[in-house]
Amino acid sequence: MRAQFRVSNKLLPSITTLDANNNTTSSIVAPSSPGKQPLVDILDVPIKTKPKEVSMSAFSFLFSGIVQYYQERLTHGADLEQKLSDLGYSVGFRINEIILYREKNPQRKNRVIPMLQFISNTVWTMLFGKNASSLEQSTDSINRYMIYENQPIECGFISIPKNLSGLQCSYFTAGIIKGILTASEFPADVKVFPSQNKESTVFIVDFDYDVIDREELWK
Amino acid sequence: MPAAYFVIVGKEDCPLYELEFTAQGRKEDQSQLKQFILHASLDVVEELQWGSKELFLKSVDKFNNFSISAYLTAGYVRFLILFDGERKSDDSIKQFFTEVHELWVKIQLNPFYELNATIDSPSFESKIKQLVNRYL
Repeated sequence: MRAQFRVSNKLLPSITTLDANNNTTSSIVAPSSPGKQPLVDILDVPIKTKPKEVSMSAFSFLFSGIVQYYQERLTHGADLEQKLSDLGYSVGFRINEIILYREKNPQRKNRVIPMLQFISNTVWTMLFGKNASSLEQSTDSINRYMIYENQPIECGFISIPKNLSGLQCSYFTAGIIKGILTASEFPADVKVFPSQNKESTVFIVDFDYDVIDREELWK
Repeated sequence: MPAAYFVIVGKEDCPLYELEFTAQGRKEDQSQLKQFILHASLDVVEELQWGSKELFLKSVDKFNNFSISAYLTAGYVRFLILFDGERKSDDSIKQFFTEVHELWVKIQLNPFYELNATIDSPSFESKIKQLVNRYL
């Protein structure tokens, strides 16, 4: 089964195809000639070095396209947040591996606090170029932690209309956090809320009670 | 090369990839037993994984003549290898696991690879076999 992404030839004259056996082929072809394309196996592509950074405008363009795509197809705003979270989940699940792999002396995280510090520092730097604003533990409930972010990057160019004022597009990042935590065996639920002063957003991470029990066991 | 059984175990203890290699000339008649032992060793791995931050767990279990080594990735995906009789040194096993880890990360990054699905790619299989020849 081949999956093919074709963008208008005027904008982007190259066609990249990826089939289920992880073979990518990428080449510049004229629209009318199928021709033979050199196969590049993704298992040969080096991943140890950091890739080039992506421009803010390219990412915002893509993200706005995603939000518009879902908005056309959904009736409730809450579903949009769930969809963005699911999308972020599959991203988070995958980048969890590569971030650890690229470290100098990779070590797994097996406790909650180092895991959250890993997310708010290393993952945040890899995704956004800076650390999260702060990480706090809730005093009310034992399984709740908060990550504060003063300027969420993915929502930089999104303006929320008045009739959808509760919408939080940061659910994409929340999905990434959830994906990383679930992949690392810290199942959790991640929600987004605007913080008290309305300027920053807060990611509320609620771990499953299994995780807390395990922490107690290994203290 | 020694008789061995290599398996990649994902979430919910599902095997994502299995490879069995036998010493030259011998017929393989104990596959089910080896699978059973590997599955049982997952319990031992799970006990050890929360106590240690290391990726490579060295030898985790023994049964009769079989010895099992384990390696964990960031996503707590387990690479297990069961040796029948003779074992290679820890260093060469660790190098083998590190190379497999790199291949695993590349597979995982593929957006078309469904999370926690079996790995069917023939190039992955041939690369694993090359690594086995080199390190084991």
